[in-house]
Amino acid sequence: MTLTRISASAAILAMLAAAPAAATPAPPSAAAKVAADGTLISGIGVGNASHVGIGVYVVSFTNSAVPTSCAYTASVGGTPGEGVGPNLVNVGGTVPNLVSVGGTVTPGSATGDVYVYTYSAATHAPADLPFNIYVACPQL
Amino acid sequence: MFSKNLLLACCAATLMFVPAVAAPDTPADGFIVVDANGGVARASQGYGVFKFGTGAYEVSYTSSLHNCAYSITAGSSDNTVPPESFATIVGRRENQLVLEVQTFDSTGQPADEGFHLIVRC
Repeated sequence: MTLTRISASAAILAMLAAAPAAATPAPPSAAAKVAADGTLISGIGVGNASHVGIGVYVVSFTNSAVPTSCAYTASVGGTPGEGVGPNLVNVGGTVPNLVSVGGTVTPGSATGDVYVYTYSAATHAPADLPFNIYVACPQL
Repeated sequence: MFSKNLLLACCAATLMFVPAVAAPDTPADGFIVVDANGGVARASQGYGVFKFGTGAYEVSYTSSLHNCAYSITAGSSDNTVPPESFATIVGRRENQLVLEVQTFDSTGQPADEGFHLIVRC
């Protein structure tokens, strides 16, 4: 009986050792869908969005480390059925409590702000366009 | 015989109690933020970059990236306003560990620009 217990225990240990190690959890993610006028349509881990200039948007994520610890990519795209022409989009972070717009720095109010800049590809001028932004972060 | 049955029962019970593991994320899942000079501002472990020309960068990882999705946007890694620019990305056919990033200015000319890259596999 003792031998049986030992065998069973050994078998269990062997199985546990062979069980695939739990993968590192995916990085926390956040995302936002923003209308051309800066309205936050939907999102995950985002507080609000605002339109602060022509083709300039601030997306305020709830995690204040997003601007300095994460990567964020954005694509111009509207709501279903909303067509958008050729365009460009760029992203940039800000230091906490500062807002960078057009090269000037003015006081801001939030710490999780990421800036999105949208342009018309036809004119190369800043243009108000809807966009989606996706954020990937390390384990914070 | 009793012992064998007991052993099988134990093993079966163990299998039931091993916590279910969700489909593991492929280790290549990650990101990298690169400045215009090819410096790494921040990145997931294992990611690196090499600048090999004007607006030309190689992003590398320690395992294959070929079956992954890449999302890239030109932009700054700090509080500076990025210039109007764009970025493209493609996997290297001859090296599955490497992605080639090209960045351009607003006129479409190769130019050194920062970028944010997210990889999901």
